[in-house]
Amino acid sequence: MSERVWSVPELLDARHLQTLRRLLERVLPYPAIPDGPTVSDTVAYVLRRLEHEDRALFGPLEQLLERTAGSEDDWLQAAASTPQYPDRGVFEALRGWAWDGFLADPRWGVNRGGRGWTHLGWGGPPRRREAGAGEGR
Amino acid sequence: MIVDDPVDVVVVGLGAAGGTLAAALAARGLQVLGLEAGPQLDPTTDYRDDELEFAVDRRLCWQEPEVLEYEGSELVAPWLARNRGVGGPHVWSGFAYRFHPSDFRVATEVGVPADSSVADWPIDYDVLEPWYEAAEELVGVGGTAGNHPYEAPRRGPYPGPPVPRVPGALRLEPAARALGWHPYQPPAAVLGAARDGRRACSKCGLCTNYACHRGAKASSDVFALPAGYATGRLRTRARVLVTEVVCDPADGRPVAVRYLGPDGVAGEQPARAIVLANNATYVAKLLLQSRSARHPRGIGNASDQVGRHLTFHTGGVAWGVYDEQLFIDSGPAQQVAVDDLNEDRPWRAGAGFRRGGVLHGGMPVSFAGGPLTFARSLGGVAPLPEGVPEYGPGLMDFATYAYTRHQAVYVLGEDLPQAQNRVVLDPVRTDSAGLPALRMVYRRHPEDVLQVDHLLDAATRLVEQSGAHTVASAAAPVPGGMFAGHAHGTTRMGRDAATSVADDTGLVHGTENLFVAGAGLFVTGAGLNPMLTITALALRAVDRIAAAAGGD
Repeated sequence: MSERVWSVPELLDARHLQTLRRLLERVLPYPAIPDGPTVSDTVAYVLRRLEHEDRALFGPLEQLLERTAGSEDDWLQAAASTPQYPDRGVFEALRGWAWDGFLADPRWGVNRGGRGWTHLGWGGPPRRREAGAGEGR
Repeated sequence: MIVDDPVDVVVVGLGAAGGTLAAALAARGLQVLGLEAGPQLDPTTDYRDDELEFAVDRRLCWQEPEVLEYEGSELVAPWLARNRGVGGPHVWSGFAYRFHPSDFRVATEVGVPADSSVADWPIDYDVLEPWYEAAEELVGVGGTAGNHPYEAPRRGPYPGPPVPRVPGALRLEPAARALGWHPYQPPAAVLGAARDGRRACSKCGLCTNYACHRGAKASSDVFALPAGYATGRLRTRARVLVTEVVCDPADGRPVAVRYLGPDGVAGEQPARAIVLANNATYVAKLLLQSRSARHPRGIGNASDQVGRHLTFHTGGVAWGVYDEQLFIDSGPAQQVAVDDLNEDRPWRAGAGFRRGGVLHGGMPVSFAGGPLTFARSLGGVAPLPEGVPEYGPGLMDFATYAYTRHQAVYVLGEDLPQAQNRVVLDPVRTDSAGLPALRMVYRRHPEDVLQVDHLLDAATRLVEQSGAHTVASAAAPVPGGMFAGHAHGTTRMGRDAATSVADDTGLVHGTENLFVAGAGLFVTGAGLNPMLTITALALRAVDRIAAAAGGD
């Protein structure tokens, strides 16, 4: 499968980028898989989502990054343990993006080599497998 | 404004009901135009297997803001799994049930619970049975006749074989029997064998949220529209949003529909008969938007019934993790059903509610799809088992272990209709066309609350009995059927114009040529999926619509 080269929008300053990275690493630490999914790829992916599909989340996320720099663990603990927590929506978005980075189709610039899929025991998109060889598992 | 050449029939919405009607009316010799607000699906972009595009970003669903006033709270989101595109439903799972005979006469069977608007349908099962048979043949339903004691009466076998089984399903069946129930494989509008140029299911597992690349899962672009196009009398137009039914100011008779075309230019399509066949909630919205001096509250709404009696189905899920790998992601959803708690059976056994529901098992907790859909559901649709953290290495470890070793049992229950549960036009918010946004007002009936608890407990027991070592369950946070597009009752059928919107063919009371189709006609929603009943009602209405349009 051909993997396109993605641009990385410059939406956040270096300090906010660092906080975003620290949050994503904590939300979902990726197992050490050689040449596998990386948090750096996921950070770039999140920035692209913020420019398009998840534009509405940019403001709340930027405010959160401003507030939580250096206290990421405290915030995560509070947001995860309180369903009605004010920032709960941002927490769930971060968790969703982190999963995307690990398990979405590599054509989105994440999940390098489909190794996240392999880690969970999935052989890849079945329709493509079907087109390639045989049918189903 | 563009005014198009008149046609015999204009059909608004080209899903299960609209696609079926458009093709059948063209076969009757009528000139038919189908207008669909969504796009014409493109096989190169719309039939892919990308979880991010289709399950996360829901490429084939509308993303309009919809206001849900639920139990007193106001929530704004694209709530409904409304399909977009010519020839739907594409995003559905494919459950193709006939309703039980009792589902058509709930008031007679169990009375009218306080604060409900339960009523009998104006037709009974026997009237619809031949149309169920025709719908199964048209759609290509597969199943095994006589495989459970609660099956609605039928005169012959299913048109096709059942879909392939997955290993998890085989675990649930003995467990259900041990609990005293009668599990069975439910009928599917997914082909177990090739038919009519459509290929058989390949167990790709990408049913819900996806268009079927093999044509195995039924949608009207494969089971109906091709025959309509072949007549030379059916045309369809995509990306045309109908905004209003236009009436003759002199006599109030519906004469056309007004629309916004793909380029945003307004147009008017005159027709001898008009059929509104979009989602039940949006049929009601369209009627309410169609106000004129003759119809100041919206056409068909003289008795203030349009939008009322809205039901969605109750919902919930129990799921478990097992020692061995089940690979539940490799198959269509029609694996195991339990109907022992449906209709009024729990009530007769002493439960505090009168109408029950079905359990569906043998599917991923994300209902369909691969690992991304599964992982993203954790902590959301899929409640996390006790001890599993909401984030961090513990969540990753759990997901890694559970993905191939889990399965779910879903609850789908009949919610009781209530007059105050309704669709209205939002007084403040607007949709992308600048029209009032859809506003849904819904609260649960006390019997529905008891019912969900009961069904969820049953689902949990089933998962435990089947050998899962880790189990979690939760009721749907909002009406469960919203996630499945199961909106019913907004244009209720009946004999009395004071308590209903249309007659039993969908003809709107007080008109001679305006019809509604789809689940909006349902008087009660039954504890089963609606698509086959939608299609059967559409087939039954063809004669009446053809007559109204001047056909034979």
